[in-house]
Amino acid sequence: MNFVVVLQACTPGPITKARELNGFLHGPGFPAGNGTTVLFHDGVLSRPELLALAPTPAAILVQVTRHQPEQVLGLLEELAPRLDAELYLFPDDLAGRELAVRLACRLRGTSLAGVRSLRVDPDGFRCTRTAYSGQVEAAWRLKRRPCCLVVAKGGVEPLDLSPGARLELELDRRERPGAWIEALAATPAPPPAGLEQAGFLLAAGRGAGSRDRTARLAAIALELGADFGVSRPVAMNAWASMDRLVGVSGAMTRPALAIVAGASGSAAFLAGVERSRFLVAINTDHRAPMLRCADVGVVGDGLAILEELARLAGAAKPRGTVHD
Amino acid sequence: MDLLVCCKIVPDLDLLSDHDWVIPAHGRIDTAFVRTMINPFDESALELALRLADCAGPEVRLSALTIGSRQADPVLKTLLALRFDRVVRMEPAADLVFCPEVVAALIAAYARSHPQDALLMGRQSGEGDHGKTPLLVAEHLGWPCVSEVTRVEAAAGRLRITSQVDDGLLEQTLRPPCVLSVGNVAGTALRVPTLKARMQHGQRAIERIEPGPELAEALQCWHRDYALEGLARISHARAGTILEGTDPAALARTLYEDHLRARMAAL
Repeated sequence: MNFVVVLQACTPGPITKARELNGFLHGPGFPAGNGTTVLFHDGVLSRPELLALAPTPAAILVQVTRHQPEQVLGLLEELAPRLDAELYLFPDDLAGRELAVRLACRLRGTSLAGVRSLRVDPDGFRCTRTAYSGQVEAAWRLKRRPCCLVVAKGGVEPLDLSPGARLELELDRRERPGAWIEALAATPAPPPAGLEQAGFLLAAGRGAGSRDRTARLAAIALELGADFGVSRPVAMNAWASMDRLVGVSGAMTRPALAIVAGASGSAAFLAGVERSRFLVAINTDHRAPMLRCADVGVVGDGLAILEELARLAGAAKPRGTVHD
Repeated sequence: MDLLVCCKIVPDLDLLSDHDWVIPAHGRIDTAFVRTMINPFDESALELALRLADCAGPEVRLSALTIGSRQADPVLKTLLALRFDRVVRMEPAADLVFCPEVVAALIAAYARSHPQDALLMGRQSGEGDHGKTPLLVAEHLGWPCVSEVTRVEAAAGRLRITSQVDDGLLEQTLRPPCVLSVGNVAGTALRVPTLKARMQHGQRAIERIEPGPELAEALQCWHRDYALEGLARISHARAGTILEGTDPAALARTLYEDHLRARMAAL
């Protein structure tokens, strides 16, 4: 079976995404086959650096000015006869989620995002993914090929990449964006909050109640030496910036220790903290589902408890210890 | 400029307790008894469209389309009160929760028969959680698509779109037509119409239409291409300890001494 991995080197975190896809390629159920990575880049990385990103034995490098979905889709359509692939894999980022669906439509195939497992059977590609905001696992069979799948972020164990791939083709597509775009200006994202690498996370939910109380919780996180994250309602109320968002729309964390205060436990948020090694939930409502999803559930006011916790942890610190 | 906002009325899944999640042998989970709401991403799309109309004035004409049952009508009345020029509900006799391909075909067919300059809709909704519909609509119509839109402005027949991309924010001035898929946008709860507006405009009729022949065709394609073979509840429960009490300081002390002190020291 021929398969294709589509990666962007001109957006942040290409190594992490390539390692996740590599983990998927080497996971249970993934069939043996000939894999080619189509890697879009903006010329910043050298050719050996780009080839080292490919999780497949062969790679096609395409230089572009910046990620432009219409342009990428056009090129993938153009390459489709040459690649003759039954399966396309995309990382779980904004670009990947868009490209998979639209490419499948153009190639008269099928698509699915957030795929956690794959088994190739004679009657189709069997995949699992979540539905109902992460409460339910749905088993799908995709009967028409090619199948364009987005591999779920955090769904597989990342795997280190093997030494560089063989260069199969190199293309230069530094073209003007489509005629429908009359002007374009990009603003780089601020440095990521780094929540996915957090060892200790304090996350606030809707129960934080206000911008001021959320800011106080963020200050407590700093005092405790924790990274600060929030659930979607907190970000949507603009009590904290969107880059602090934890959950399926934001960071999928896996800290050694996480404390969640004032979150009811919506599945979308829970997905972002469920891989915590030790999880504490604090909620005033003893029926909040979040309490049952934690190693320790505390029924009470999150801010009051955390203020006291910060005082206790501060008092226990050796004199002169300063948090950065 | 004619803008069509597509919105979906969905159950508030956060209100379902553990024992409400009954997985049927076939088909979808029954959520009919749960309070409904506008899909949050669609709510942002509706509010962004209203803000666009606020700035652009009568140059912009707003329509709203939903595909679903009469459960949507109270929300649609609100949209009429908020001065949407046209509010349409299409009611197919089929359950399309897991069929974004069919929903997209219906929306595209409507947009073809009622020409639009741009379509706005949320990027996904909670039940099926596919994140496909706006992308497929764009492909059906052969229009460009901007994903993760956070802001929309109009001027001189052009759309100025701000969207989130993997490496930051993108501001584009676009020549319509296009499909705009709205992502996470802070502070876009749908405004509430005044009582006067409800009385003046909310009494207008919701247009109810039947899907055309494309429904049967799209369903046939869906069954040819996809099969949903089963649903299974995911359990997130941990065998946890519950600490209760009225004194926050005492709770914090127990939490710290019994569960966190050693773990925090080991970090």
